[in-house]
Amino acid sequence: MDMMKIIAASFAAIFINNFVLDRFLGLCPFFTVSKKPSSAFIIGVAVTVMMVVSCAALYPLNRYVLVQYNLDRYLQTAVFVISAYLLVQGTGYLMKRLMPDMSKELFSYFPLLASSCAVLGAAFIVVRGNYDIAQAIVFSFSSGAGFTIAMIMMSSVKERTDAAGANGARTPDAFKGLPVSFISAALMALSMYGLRGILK
Amino acid sequence: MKRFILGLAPVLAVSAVAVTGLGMGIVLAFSLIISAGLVSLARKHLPEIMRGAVSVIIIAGVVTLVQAALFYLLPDMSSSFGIYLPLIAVNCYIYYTALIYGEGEAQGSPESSRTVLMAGLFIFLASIFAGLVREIAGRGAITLTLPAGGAGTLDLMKLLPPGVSISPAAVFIMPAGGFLVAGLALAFFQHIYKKRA
Amino acid sequence: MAAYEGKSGMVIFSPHIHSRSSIEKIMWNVVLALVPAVLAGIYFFGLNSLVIIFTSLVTCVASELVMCLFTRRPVTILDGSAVITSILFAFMLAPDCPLYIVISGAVFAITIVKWAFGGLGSNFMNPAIGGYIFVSASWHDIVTMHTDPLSVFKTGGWNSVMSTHFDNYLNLFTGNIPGTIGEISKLALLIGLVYLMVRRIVSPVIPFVFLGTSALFLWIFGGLPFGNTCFTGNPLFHLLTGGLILCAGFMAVDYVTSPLTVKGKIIYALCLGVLASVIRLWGDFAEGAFYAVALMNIFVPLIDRYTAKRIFGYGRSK
Repeated sequence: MDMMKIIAASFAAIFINNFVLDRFLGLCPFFTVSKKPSSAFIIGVAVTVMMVVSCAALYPLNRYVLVQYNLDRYLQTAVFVISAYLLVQGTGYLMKRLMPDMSKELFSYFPLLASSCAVLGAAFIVVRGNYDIAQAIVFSFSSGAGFTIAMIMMSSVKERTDAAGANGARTPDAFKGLPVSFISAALMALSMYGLRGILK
Repeated sequence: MKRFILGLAPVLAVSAVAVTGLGMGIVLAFSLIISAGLVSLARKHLPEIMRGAVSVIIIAGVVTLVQAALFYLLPDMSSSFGIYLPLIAVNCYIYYTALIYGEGEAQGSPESSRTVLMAGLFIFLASIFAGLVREIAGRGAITLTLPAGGAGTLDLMKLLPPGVSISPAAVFIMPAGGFLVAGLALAFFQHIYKKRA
Repeated sequence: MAAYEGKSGMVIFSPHIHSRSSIEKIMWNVVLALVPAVLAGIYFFGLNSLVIIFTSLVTCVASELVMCLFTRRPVTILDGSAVITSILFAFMLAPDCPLYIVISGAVFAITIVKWAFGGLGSNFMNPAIGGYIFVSASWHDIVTMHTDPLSVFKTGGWNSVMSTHFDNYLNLFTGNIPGTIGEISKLALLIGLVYLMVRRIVSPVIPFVFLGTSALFLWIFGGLPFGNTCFTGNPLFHLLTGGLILCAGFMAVDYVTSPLTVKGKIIYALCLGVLASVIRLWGDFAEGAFYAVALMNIFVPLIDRYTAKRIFGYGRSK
């Protein structure tokens, strides 16, 4: 496979069609990220891993089971949703077991639960987009990387907009919290347009 | 319940065309109400351990049925929903977890039914608003029948007086515009809410 | 928190109120520094420039007034910051830009990019840049210029530049070229910038590192898009075309949206230089500097987190 094409496709998945800022996927953890970049990074990595694993598992499942027996139209949604749920629950459970301190920070792994939209979204894009298995893996990894970058961006902006901290941003009441986060996301998305065209 | 707002992502994602946004809103509200009802029924009769898993199965089932119905009844809309249609399941699930971890209202009680219906209504109104604002500001037209921009589109630019040439602000049909409209709408509601408090 | 680290220590001016007068002094000096470029814009493009700058000014000040009233804060239209934003925003527009675009961008810049976040000191993105990316995305074909030297070079190479006589470096420097209102006259911009540096209002770190990194990068890689080898770029041409000097001298140095420490500024400006050059060479846009600033503004709080020195009484926020 052509290396340049892989790089170009990855670049597109990370920046141009950014999972969060362009596809609206993974918004739940994105908007509830903390201003600590380390948390953002860890959740990003966790979600990336889940995305890659789910794509790697669901792609063959879809291809060799569902499509083979012509069940994909009826069962695809249900199978994917349930698989994603199990995967995310399993990851959450694993994390609780292996890293109990870390998980307390990620407050009862709600962000992970909610990140199932990112995981599911990746799986659906991959199976509906005529990718082959290698492309699927690269795509899910790149999308996860893009997601992580978006998380870090949001945690950086939150450092500035967090009214409670010593930074003392004086956000108007009407905008405090989610509204200003949405507007921040809008500005981030607008900024990303500048990267269009690179690595065609 | 604030987290639930984030469950409106599929609506936002497709609301660049007003009718698609509205359609998604209706579908989402409908799925939410039905699945919330079924899940609360199921939860009453099930032991603690099984509740989460069964809820997911019910939600997945509801969404699958909705998806199939849409595919046969409104194929154009179904295809323009793309991958966001199955993602409705996630939002139903978010609603469900927000409900149990949040207010702690008894399942099946009048309060929780009212909450679901209010949520559904809110989704419906929000999707109309988002879709209209985005399409009018971003394209200067209102699509009445899919496909977008085709024969059934109301071109508002023709309403402008002659000599005035304004181009629509394309940002609104881009994802950035979706975030912007959502943020402003949220700010508006938060403003009203805080004024009341 | 917005602060400025000068030679004599740190000035923390937001949200402290008693430093108001020093903010105003700084702001109005920046406005003064922009006057040469305003005059150049009017000189080369005529009345159109004046109309656009004036429209931007009135819109920004009016929006600022409205937002001050709406948020019940002291009215700050006289502190000069809205004026600066309005001029800088107008500077990024073409002289034939329709007024409804100017107004939309100006309103967006002040009400959304600045005031939705809390007004001066609370925003993370430079309002003028925010306004620009808004109009650039909304009305891409109208706002993006195609006849200025940089665009001509990007689409047609050096041959096009020669045939349109844009290889006259004196013209590029004085501003006798097509382009946006504020970017054309590097001479006028540099006069203002040097004034600000001499008066210690602007630290030379960001402009020098930004421009220097860009020049270096564009020298090394500038020939690649045209099929040439490395080290064949034309850094002088690149510096003198497009909005690079405008951006490096007046947008990237905005106190509120740039890092606090020298180390932070260097990192910021380095990234800016690389990003702007990459977009210039390979991106869809001819001028990458503005988008580079927009992107890096997002990361400034992160840069500060890792480079800012501890100030007495200000603990690490958890």
